[in-house]
Amino acid sequence: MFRGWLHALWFRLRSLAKGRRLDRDLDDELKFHMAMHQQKLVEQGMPPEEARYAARRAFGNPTQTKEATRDLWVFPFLETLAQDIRYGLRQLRRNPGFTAVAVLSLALGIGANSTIFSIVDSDLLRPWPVKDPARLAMVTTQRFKESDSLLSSYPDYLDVRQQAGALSGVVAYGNRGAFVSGDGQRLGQEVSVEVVSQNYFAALGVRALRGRTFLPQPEEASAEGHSVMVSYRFWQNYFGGDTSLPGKAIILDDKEFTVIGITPQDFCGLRSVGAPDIWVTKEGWETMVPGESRWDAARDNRWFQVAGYLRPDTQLSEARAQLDGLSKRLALAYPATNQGVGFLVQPASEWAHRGMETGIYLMAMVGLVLLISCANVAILLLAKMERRQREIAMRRALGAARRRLINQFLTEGLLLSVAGGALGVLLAMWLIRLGPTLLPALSDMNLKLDSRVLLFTLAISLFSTLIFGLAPALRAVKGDLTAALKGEIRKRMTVRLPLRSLLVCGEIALAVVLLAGSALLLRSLLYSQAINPGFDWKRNVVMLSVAPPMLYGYDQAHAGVLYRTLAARVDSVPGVVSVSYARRPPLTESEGGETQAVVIPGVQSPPGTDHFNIRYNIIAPKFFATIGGPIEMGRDFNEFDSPSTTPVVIINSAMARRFWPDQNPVGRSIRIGKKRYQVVGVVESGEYLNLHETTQPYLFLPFSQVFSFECMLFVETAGNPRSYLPAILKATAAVDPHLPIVNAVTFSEYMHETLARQRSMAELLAGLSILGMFLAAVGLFATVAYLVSRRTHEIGVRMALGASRNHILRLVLIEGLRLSGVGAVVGLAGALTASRLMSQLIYCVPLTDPLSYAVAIIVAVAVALLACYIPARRAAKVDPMVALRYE
Amino acid sequence: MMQEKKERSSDLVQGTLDMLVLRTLARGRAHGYAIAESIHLKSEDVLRVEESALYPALHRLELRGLLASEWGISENNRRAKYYRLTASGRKYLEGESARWNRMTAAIARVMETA
Repeated sequence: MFRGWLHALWFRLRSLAKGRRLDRDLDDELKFHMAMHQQKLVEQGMPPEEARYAARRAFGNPTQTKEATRDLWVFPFLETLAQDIRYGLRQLRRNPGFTAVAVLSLALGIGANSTIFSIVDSDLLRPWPVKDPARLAMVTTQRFKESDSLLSSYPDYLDVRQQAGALSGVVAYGNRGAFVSGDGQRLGQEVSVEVVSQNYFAALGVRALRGRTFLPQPEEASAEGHSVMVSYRFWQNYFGGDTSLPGKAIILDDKEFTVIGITPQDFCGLRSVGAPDIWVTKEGWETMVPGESRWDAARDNRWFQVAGYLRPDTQLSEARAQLDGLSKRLALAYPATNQGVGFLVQPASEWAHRGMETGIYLMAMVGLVLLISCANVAILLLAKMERRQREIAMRRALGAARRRLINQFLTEGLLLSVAGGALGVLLAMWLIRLGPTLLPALSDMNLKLDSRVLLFTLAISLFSTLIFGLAPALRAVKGDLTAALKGEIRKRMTVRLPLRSLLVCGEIALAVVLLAGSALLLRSLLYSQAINPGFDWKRNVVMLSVAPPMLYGYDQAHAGVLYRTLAARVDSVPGVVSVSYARRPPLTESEGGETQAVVIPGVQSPPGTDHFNIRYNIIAPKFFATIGGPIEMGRDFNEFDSPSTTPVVIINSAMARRFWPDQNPVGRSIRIGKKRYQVVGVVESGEYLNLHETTQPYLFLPFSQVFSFECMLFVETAGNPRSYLPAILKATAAVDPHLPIVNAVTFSEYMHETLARQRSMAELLAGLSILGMFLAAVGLFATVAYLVSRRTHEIGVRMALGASRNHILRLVLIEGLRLSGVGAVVGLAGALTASRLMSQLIYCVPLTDPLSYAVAIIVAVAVALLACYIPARRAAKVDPMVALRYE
Repeated sequence: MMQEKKERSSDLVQGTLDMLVLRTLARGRAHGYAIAESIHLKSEDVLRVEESALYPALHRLELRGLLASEWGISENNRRAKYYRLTASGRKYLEGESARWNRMTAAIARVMETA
């Protein structure tokens, strides 16, 4: 049966391809038949001419035979389709307004979906471009008690690599920063450096776009200690795509490296955010930062991500069991660092998709926009169907098959969605090109409109046809023929329009969900800006990184003088209010999370250890005055704190509360390492790590007593700090013209950057909800306008009976309000449910924040009323005489 | 679409023509005219196949894969389309002949005894 069907299909396809030849063949065949008949008659003694006519006559009607035969060959289906398409196009041409609104609605919905899909796809869905990504597993260190995950130390990585037999090709990588100084003509630049185990590229199967990658053999270690790989983007941006780059030298900090290769364009490391500029081996990094070689021994120096391939015949559970065993052995051997921690193994896809909720949420929201546009088209189609009710009834009465009619309407819908889809793709192309300018967060992503996105667009276009096309089509062919022919259906329609009301309510509901989501995000964003980050971000403060002075010939003593001189020189620049410096900027500790081992006399340390790990910063005097963090008790550091005086420390109020509840901590002493420190001040607690956390104990040490080669200047200016920057840089250049001062960032820029993810999310969602609301308003407008046009007669009667214009206006507005009110209530329930998806994105405001929902409903209802107002005005202007004659 | 329904109602007639065509071709390949003539002769002038039914039937059988066709040169040196039975056509013919025999025998019995 099936084979026969295939056979027929093949023949038909062939006949389609043959086209005219088939006709000619058939013609020949029939002519041959007649010729043979004629020949026979001639042989029987008939004159040739007469025989020809006789043969013709005997044959009957050759044209009919030909047509009957040919019909077998061509697709009846295709023919009908072509007919339907022609019919559909004619219908669409006849109502250009309808067509334009429907196609634009769809184009907006589909275009938004394709754009968001391409973002989510490039951000979240695509596996890393490495060998066999499905078998790649990520190993993270996990603290059991805090149930949070950390990176791993290099010694732990080596143990995993040697002792987890279920994993092969185990690599480690960690992110660091360095300064690139080019050839003296270019400015220095801070770059993101991926410090990797030497087998990194070989194990991941990543080949160099140009040049080569690191040799995996351990005996090459010292040779590869001077090699770096450069990312495609850095190669393009910094070296202008110079094809002769491999083999050339590059200065990282003050060490010379040889560029051995360029990574492929799509390889951005095994990260879910951010892309490294430069890859350097662990040995290479050691030569740059000699002090860091201690990580060979330090198991608490955790900044490596570990990844490895599951061997072909093993399961994840085996690797898990092996790593559990390993972590138990490590805990016994190194209790100080490895107790209470274990390894977590996850498939790479799962690990990389930790931000998936955001993607799912975005897709869901943009899906709502598509539903709104589909509902719009459905509403428009319904209105059109009703106008055509009589025609449809007539066609049915004349014997048109129900299925045939439905097919015809669906074809019309298909045409709409194909046009909408095509326009949507254009829109998406434009948006994607514009994306990075609209949302800076997108510039990191490799957005493109590729076959996956196009396939997705095609799928949603077809899907939307079914959504909006089927209901009106089914409805059109339903119902009482006689009534429809007499034109009675129209009157019944105006009384109750459940389907249309449902659609409009649904649209408003979806718009409310969108609006509530973006209101929540915006509120959360506003709150995030209002919370106390430990500094006053509205101050005119600029932060400047000083390149590590040891790279420029300073020893510790000279560097200390250098910092003080820099601060003093900048302080004398006109317009500078206050200057200080610190080891790190606030809010960035999440990367390193470096702590000091602190012993607090009289307070029991956590079990198994003899100290507390407390995060810290090293600061100069006037730091708090400059950044705007008030000192609650005690004093600031001052010029009298020196190496020879009592070591001092300032703590935050969270630390004070934790260790000395209800007591004055000033004057107490704590032990850090072997030294005793006296607490001299308490400052207000801020969110030092990120804006998400609860306040943590934190301490500050003075630069004059604890030295660091990392230094950042904080300069408060009288006005916009950017305008003082040239003068500030001139002052620093006067101290040392060779020492790079880089990365000037103002507080407000810094805060914006910190909130960038949330902000771009909020902006995207706000854009979507505006789009959704707009589309819903169009739908509502179309509905009310249609209702008004249908009720012109009734309105005329009412006015003739003495209803005032205001009365009519109210009548129509109340109708619209009823629809949108029901929609808003349903939407409220939907928004509350949908908000759960956002829990990762919302800080500071509860997911049930009443104000956000109230705003959403008010906006929705206000827009709805506006959409009803225009048709309502038109209704009120109806001339009763004209209206009564309308029928 | 509508045509298919009509075809089904005249199943018997059409089915018979199909069977006759297939039976004729069982003896070897032939062109349309030869098939019509053969049926005419074999039926001793009782059955005359209408061309308007024959050619659609031939093409339909070809579409169903029961016949195959090729262009060749006829006995009077003209280009002619020759049909021949395919393997599945032969099988189909066997089934149809058996069915036909059963049916005619049954009809005959009914006619005799009634």
